[in-house]
Amino acid sequence: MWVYEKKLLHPIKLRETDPFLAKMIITQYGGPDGELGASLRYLNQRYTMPNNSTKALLTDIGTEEMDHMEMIATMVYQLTKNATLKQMEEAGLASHFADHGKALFYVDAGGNPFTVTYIQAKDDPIADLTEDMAAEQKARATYNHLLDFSRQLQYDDVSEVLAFLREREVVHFQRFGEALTQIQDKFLSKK
Amino acid sequence: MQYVKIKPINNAGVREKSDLLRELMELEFAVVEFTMYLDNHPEDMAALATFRDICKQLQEVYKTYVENYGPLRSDDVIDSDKWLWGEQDFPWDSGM
Repeated sequence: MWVYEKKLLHPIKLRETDPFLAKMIITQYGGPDGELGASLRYLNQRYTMPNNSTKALLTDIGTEEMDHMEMIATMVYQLTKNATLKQMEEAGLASHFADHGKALFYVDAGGNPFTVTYIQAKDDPIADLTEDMAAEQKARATYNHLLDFSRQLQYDDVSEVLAFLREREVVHFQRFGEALTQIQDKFLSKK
Repeated sequence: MQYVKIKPINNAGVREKSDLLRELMELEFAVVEFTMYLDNHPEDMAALATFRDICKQLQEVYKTYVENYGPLRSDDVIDSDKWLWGEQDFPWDSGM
């Protein structure tokens, strides 16, 4: 079960109002390589993993992804909460505002809604873990693109958070790689 | 995890809220990191020992924070008549 702790994984106190940047960052909330997809993918795959250590890893990484999701949401929320309607329009968020006001929603940077077809579960640990490694690389690459924006704008506080999240993807990739190797070794040693 | 830190203390001799919360965040992040490492390397005795030290330190800081500044989980027992869980600010507003 999950228990909620009333704090962020990492502090986020953004000084800027910038709905354009928020529109880009929201892709890590509801986009194809974002934190919602990651948490759902791992937390769903874990049920049919062949051993407890892999069930543990997927549970733990999946849970951290939910922490990340909250951090992305916090950045989008803080970047837009003081925005004027004009600023929202100029940022290309008029349609979003019509449907949601300033509420967050699970969409990518183009406003496309989240779909569960972004993720997969095959009841095959090699397929699942390989997908997970790919997912972490795609997330890392996305953070690189977002950092291009925040660095160009010279928003150091945003860049600091994005860089933290990017580094976590690198670590997760490492962990999934270790788990895949261990499963493959076990499989090969049985032959 | 050894670092020398000057800890701000308020008039009651208790560490400042933001200072405690910052240390709490560091310790909880260390727990997250070590947990997934140990999931893959359960035989690493050194890591396990460090993890236990981190958890002990976390429990102390957590207890001090909650006793002085309010609940972090809804079932944290606080000496207060108020329903602080619902009333105190949420992390996306406070930034912590």
